[in-house]
This record gives sequence, structure tokens and C-alpha cells, in this order.
Amino acid sequence: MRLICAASMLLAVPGVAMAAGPEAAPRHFTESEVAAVEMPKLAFTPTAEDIGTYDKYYYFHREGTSFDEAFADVSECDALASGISYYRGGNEPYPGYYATQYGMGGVIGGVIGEALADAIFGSSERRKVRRINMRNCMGFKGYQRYGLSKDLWQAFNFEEGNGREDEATRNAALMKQARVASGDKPKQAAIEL
Amino acid sequence: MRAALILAALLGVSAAAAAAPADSLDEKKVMSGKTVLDPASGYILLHGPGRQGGTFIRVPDAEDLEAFRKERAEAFAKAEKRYQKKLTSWEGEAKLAAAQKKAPPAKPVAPDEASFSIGDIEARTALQFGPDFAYIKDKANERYSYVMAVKPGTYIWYGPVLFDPGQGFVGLCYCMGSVRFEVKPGVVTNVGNFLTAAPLAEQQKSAPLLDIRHNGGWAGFKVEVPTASVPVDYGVPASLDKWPVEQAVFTASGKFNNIYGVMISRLPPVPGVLVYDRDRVIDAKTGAAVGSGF
Repeated sequence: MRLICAASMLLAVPGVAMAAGPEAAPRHFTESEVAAVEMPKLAFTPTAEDIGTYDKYYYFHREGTSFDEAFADVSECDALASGISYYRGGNEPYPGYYATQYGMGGVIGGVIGEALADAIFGSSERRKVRRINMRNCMGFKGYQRYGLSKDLWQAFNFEEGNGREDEATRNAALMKQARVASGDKPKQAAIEL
Repeated sequence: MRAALILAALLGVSAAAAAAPADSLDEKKVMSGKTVLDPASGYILLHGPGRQGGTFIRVPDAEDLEAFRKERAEAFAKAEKRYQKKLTSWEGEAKLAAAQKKAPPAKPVAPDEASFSIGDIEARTALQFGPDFAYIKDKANERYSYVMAVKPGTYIWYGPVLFDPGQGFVGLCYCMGSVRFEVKPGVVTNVGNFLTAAPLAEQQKSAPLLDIRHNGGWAGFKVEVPTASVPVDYGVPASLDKWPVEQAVFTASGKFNNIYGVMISRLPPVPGVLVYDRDRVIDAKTGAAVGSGF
């Protein structure tokens, strides 16, 4: 099934030949596994305050996207945003380094970056960087961004400043984000990347 | 950069993980003949309208890989030794706990050879330049040139990522797509202003970015992220007239890990070199998707 899934992802890009290094196969979820992921509440009536904080509180959605694709995408962007090593090598084996799997913490990369930033940069700045990174990464993947109220956002997202979110909490949040990203098209208008 | 290494040491982080500073050339020394071309060394020449700064990643070669494997093997041996000590200590504590009918302490976990990590190999081949130590500072014509002596090899433009002693690593990683080029020995590889001028920044949307400020110099520097393409200029300083200079040949480079935990983006598309299909990095010359990493 993984092979079928990977193949279907390649077929989604007609005319593009894959040339180089191996990519991790996306994790496949059964229908019952997807159904078991709680769909967060998204409906709300925005206040001026909500609209003013859309730079912080938002969700992503892309039409015609499966849960597997969405989960792979949010996992990749989460890894990039938090400085976790994610991409595997092309030709050379780097033992114990490119060992990551979708949806798992994997190998901690950016050790010095995180350590220094945590010591000096400040939690608030790191939260800002994470927001920028998620917006850019998901934007490049073709997802639209939609504003949300803070309380609804908190039900399936996490802020990450200094330190790292617990892996179980992180994974549960990413699953819900993937459910939303691959769900019904939002009725509200998308906002700027 | 010395500050980076001192700070890294204070924080207990391997100095190997900090980007090495570029061996920047000084125009006065080149003109006086104090600095001469080393046929075994490679050189990178670039310029821009303001202070430039950033990080290149040299694709690890066989020597780097060997050093990495050796370092990892040594670190693993140390980890195993530490584990054996902890295990011996734990066995004593567990016996004591059993005698006292208390719950035993958590058993230490043995290091796993397959997943044991010493971090990123690319952090060991990263090279940082600027924003200070410019080869030429021409404020009147808004042209700052940088020349650095480097190990020959393949270099990936990682982006305007800098170590700042007051903040740690700051900047923007082109982690989701960039370009690479070859640096030959005994030749100055002329990058010109390609890295900031050629990418079609006006065609790429981005979330608003934080300023990239470096606290070097008297008042600190702000490294600008281009918002629009401009004509590419490969002009060479007159002081390098007698040095062999070759224009860099750029090819598309795939996604990369955010090893410094900074802001991420991608180099905007470059006609004839780099395009994207959503987030897939495509080599514009061949139409083929480019794999991640090296």
C-alpha cells in the first residue's frame, strides 16, 4: 500500500521525472484510522480581535488532498519549522542521521541552533519563527490559510518556544491538522500567506 | 566566530556543529602581494548592493565522510562506556531497592548503534561569510564584494544565515530549494551578485519575515532579503585581474534540513536553473525533480 501511495503521489505531477535521492514513503492510514481522528471545530463568528490575530491563529486546507498527503505535508513542515532533521541523504549513507520517519520526532538536528537560540533568542521570537516557517512551508505546498479564533486554534495546535513539545501531544495535533487540511473546503475566504 | 565557538563550548555543544568562518581575503593584502593565489585552494567571489552575509554548505566529500564516521564511532564508544558505568551503578541501586522492598530506579537505556546520532554532517562542512570582512566596501556605488578562500568542492547556497554572538543563529534558510555550484582549485569562482539578483523574488509569496540583524561592526548590520530580481553582474575587482577567474555554473539543489532552527523559505525561481512544481524542486535544465539532501 505504501508503494501504491508513493506511486500515486508521483503520478500527481505529470511530466516530472524523479532523479535523485530517496524520500521517505508517506505513512498510510486506513479509513478507520482517519475516522478515529477527531475533526476539530472550525465554525465561529470572527470578532475584530480574532481578525487581528490571524497571523497567529490559523489553519491550512488544500482541495483534493488525501489525509495521507496532508499528514506527510504537515509533518514535513513541522520538522522544518522546529529544526528536526527530516530529509534523507541522496547517495551517501550518513549512519544514524537520516533515520526519520513521517510523523515521528526522528533525529534531533540543529542541536547548536536550538541550544543557542533557546539560551539567547527568547521563547517569543522562536514562536514567531515557527509561525513564519509553517506559513511558508505549507504555502509552497499549495495550501490556503484560513483565520481562526484563539480558543478553537488551541484545540489542535501548539505554540513552541523554548524546548520541544511532547511527541505524543505533537503527533496528535498534527493528525488533527491533517484532518482539517484534507477535509471539506472552508466556507470562509482564505487569507494571505 | 570565535565568540560562536566559545559560546558553543559554554553550552556544551560540539564546536564541529558551528559553521566555520570563511577565510576572507583582504584587497589590500592582495594588492600588496602579501596574499597570493594558492593553487590548492578554491576561492569564491561575490558582491551585492549592501552588506552581504550567509552560509554555504559544502557537499561532504570522502574525507568528510570518513571523519564523520570516525567521530561517530568514537562518540558511540564513549556512550557505550557511559552506559556500562550507569548499568553497574543501576544494578547496585536495584539490589538495594529490592532489599528495601522499594520500586527499582529506571534502568538505563543502552545506546543503539543504528540510531545513534552525533548531529548533522552538513554542519561540519558549513561555511559562513560576512557581513563584515568585505573585500571591497564601496559605499558610494553601493557595492560590497567578498572573496573567500575555501576547500574545493560543491557548494550549496544555504541562505542568509549568520551566527550572531548576541542572538545565536539568525536568518533565512533556503531549506526548500536552492542552487549549487562547483568550486575548482586554483581558480576564483565568480558568483557575482547572482544569488541575490537572479532569483525572481517578485514571483514568490512569503509570510512577513523578521529582520536579519547582525550585531557586528559599530552599529550592527541588517542583511536584506531581496524582494525583486535585478540584472546579474559578474564584474571582477581590478585587484583580481591577474587571478584566474571563472563564472560559477549554477544548478538546482534540493530540500535541506533546517540545521540551525532559523526561518525557512526557498530561493525564488531562477530562469533556466531552478523552478518549482508546488514544493517539488525542479532542475530547469532537465525538467527532472531534484532529490532532497545532497
